[in-house]
Amino acid sequence: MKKSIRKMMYGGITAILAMFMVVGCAATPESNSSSAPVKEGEQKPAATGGESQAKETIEFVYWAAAGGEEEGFKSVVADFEAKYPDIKVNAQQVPPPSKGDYYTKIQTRIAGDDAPDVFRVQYQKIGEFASQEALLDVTDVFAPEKDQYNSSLITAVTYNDKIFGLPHHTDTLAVFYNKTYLDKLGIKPPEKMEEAWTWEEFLDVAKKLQDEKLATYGVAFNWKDTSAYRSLPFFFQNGASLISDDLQQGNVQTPEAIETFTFLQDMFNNYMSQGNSMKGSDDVNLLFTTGKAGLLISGNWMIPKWEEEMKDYEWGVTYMPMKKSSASDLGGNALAAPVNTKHPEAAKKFLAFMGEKETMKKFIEMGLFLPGRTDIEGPFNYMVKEPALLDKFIEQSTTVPEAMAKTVTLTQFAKINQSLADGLEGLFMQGISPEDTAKTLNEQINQILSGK
Amino acid sequence: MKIQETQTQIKEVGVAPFSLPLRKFRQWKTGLIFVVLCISAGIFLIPFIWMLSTALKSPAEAVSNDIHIIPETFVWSNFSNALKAAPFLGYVGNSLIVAFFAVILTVFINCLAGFAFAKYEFKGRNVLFMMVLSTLMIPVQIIMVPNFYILKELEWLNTYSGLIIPRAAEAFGLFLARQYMMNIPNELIEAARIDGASEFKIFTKVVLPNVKPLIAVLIIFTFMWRWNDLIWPLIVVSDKAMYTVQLGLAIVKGEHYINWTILMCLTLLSIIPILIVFLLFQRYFVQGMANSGMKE
Amino acid sequence: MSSLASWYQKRAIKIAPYLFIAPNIILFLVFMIIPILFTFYISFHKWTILGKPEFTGLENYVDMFTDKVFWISLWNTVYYTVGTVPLSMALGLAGAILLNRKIPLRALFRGIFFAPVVVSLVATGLIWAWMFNPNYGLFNHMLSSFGIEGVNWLSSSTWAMPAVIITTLWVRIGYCLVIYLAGLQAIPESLYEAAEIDGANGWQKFCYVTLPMLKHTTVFVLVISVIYGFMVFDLVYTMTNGGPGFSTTVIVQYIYQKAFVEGDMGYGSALGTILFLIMMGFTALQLRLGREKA
Repeated sequence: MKKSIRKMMYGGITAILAMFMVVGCAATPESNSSSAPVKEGEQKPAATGGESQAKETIEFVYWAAAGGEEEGFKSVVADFEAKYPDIKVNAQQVPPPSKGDYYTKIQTRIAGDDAPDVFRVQYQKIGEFASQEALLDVTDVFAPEKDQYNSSLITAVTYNDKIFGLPHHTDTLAVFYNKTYLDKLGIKPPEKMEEAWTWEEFLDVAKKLQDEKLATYGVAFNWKDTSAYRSLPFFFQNGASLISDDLQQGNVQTPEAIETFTFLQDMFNNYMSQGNSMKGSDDVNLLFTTGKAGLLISGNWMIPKWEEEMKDYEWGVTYMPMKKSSASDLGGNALAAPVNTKHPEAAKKFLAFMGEKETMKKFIEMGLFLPGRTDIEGPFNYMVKEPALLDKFIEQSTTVPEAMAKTVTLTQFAKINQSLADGLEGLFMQGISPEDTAKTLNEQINQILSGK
Repeated sequence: MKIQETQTQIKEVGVAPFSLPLRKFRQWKTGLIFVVLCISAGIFLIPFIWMLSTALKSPAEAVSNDIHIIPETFVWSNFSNALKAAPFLGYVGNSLIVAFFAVILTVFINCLAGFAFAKYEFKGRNVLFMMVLSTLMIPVQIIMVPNFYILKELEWLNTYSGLIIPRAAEAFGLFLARQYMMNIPNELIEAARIDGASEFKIFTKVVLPNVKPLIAVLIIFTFMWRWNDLIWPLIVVSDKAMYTVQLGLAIVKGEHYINWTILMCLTLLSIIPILIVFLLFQRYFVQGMANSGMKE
Repeated sequence: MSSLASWYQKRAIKIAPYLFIAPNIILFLVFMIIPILFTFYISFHKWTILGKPEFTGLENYVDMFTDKVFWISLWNTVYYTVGTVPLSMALGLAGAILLNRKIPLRALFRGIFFAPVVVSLVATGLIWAWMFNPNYGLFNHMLSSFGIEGVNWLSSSTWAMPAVIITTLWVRIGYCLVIYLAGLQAIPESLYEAAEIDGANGWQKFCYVTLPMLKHTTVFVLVISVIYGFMVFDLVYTMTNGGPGFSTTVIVQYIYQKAFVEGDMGYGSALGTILFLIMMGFTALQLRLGREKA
């Protein structure tokens, strides 16, 4: 036994040394741009004299949360490479940013001068990058067609009058309802946005669902982790906002905002699951598919899942509730290039390509999104059974207020978002009064905006 | 060990000095202890059983209101679905490669260093030991960013080197090795010196053969740590092809929609390798823990 | 043996230890010590990675004192540690005592109790989160079959931390058990026999022979367990993400949130530094106490 262990040791050491020699050049079987310095962008006429064109490789970092997105990205990347044979795209799919690592990595890479060439970024985060001058100015690419894009989205990617990203797609929230239940109650949800439920009507439906013992919870809401901003629509529906119009200070202690907090608290306490708070661990989708929740506020990307999983109930989509006006959430993502990309021209080509009508149409059809452009003609062949459902979402996405776009694209929005999450958590789980919640949030926003 | 076992044996079976009624009492006591252990073991197994049960149920049954331990129908296709959801086998491959080489490297350098700390007097020994101890108290989260820069400079991002080498130094393993080696009789080492052996030869020919159980302990622990490591691969890897098992599991969980049956399948698959390693080495492992003596 | 050979040997003996510890020390220096020094440095700055670090002196530390959440996270960490360490050690010791005799299937029992230790914390967190699921989980189902209304475990500010603690116990008891078992088996039989001759009963044997002989083991397990308790992250991150409210936000979770989710690297580094210092102090204290009682 002793001999064999010694043999193993020697064998192991030899193996390690051998491995280092092989791996030591830092190239893995799938070579990647971040560790092989020589390849990128350099003309290699000497080494590969036979090639007529030098091949450039750009790195595109993105995440894909649902199945359709992944195929969508792969497909349009392939189309890009077909159109530009001298540019190769190294597409890196990484875990979604629901918990923070995604952006930290990209920021570290940019700061360390090892930036990717294009990356996917939420509208709520792009302001952070733009204000730190970390993004490539792409005004020359998109300014000419600026008006063909959703204006809120353009606002979201603009900073200091310069455009820093492509408004790739958007998605928004609406209300999914359990049709089987509503039929039993004899309720027909609004088919026109002007007839959307008011807050009171919305809660009334929830109440009936619970009273008739159809659903355990009238309402479920897909706000969790870092998505506290999904509650913002309700503020704007009531004519409130978190920040003053000049974006200089907090504006939370208005009667409208406090009324919104009251409404949200009421909704949570009486019509929602206790586990559906900001940090709660409920699986709201599961609640909906198993009929435990009758109404679910969530986004268009969920439709394929319902088609697959909602076997026991029929379901449908209706508009977000409204109070003084209609409003919904600014969702979706942009594509941007870091300011220190080593291939600015190729990156711009890539962004331009992704913004073209055909490319965008293809992507959103596969990914179940709403286009960033407003001039793409339907019908959209969404890969779902009932593409018409998306129409309500498309309509809803036009109600995203400009002010909301400005708010969420502030540099410090991540912190504001966290304060909002903390405030709502206290409102829901600790019974803090709406007035106190508003007061604390206002103070925190002021602190954040003043640079703390 | 053997002498102790025999003595315990004598005590339990109740031979010789003990009278008959006492022997019966001891048998009852043993029986009772056995029952208690069975119940406790059963409780400990519940999570595993539940995981297995969920993995084999159909998605609908897993969330029905009637919960049974044994699924109504055994849905083996969950496993193939799970493997389709993510290139899991590739992740397993990566984790295996990392774990394998990490074990070899870590065991070797920890034994070496443990030997040095245990059997040599040298200047700065205590200070260096304290430094090693302090590394246990550094939360990896706060050194993530500096490490990222360092790895980038070394060009070890997205490579096996980056996954294996930095984490090869494991303070806990070093402690165990040191503890264990302190029990090696100095005479053995002196004798080898008198015979003219070099220090390294002493290590390989005198020390290593005598620390077999320690090696088993280090193999299990190192394999376990590397296999279960989430934070470090998170720093090093962004290329999906290089993902380890835990990273893969974390992504699946991060998707918009958690399908619990698939999740439980993947979880089950992710713990099978480590369970196998543990079962193989359990005997040596316990021996190794015992003989380290846990002295200061 | 010539004197030349012995001179070489003396030199070799002097140099060898440094060479032997070199791989470990170098790795620690490069990947742990230097990064933590960098972190100390950053803790005196304001930094968001993208920008330039801005020197702010002790501001981060001062802010900590008035940061309500910091104290909450510290309290939660203590709560967690106090909830998990004594119980896991006591139950581990109890199990070790039960297993320290000749009974059938001993190795199997040992394996079952230790198995949770080898399962990754991510996997453990997922399995237990599933069991604690308020609507479809095992526990609430069992409770309801007894007519007790299920608790919304991971979403209740009273029950979330206990749930995480229970999960931790499942993981840690086996660990303590195996170490204690090893310690028990190192106690010479002769000591017990001598005690019996002196007329000691079972309980007295435990108090006067077993416990003292286990002192070193106990110190070891205590130090490791407390470190583990204070550094807890993976389980909380997977199961509750610090919620509901802040009821399970432990200090490392808070560091993570500040540094990565909110991008406040300076403050996160300061928090990490404080944690490190607390741990160092604590461990030094424990080691000293352990040494004195000898």
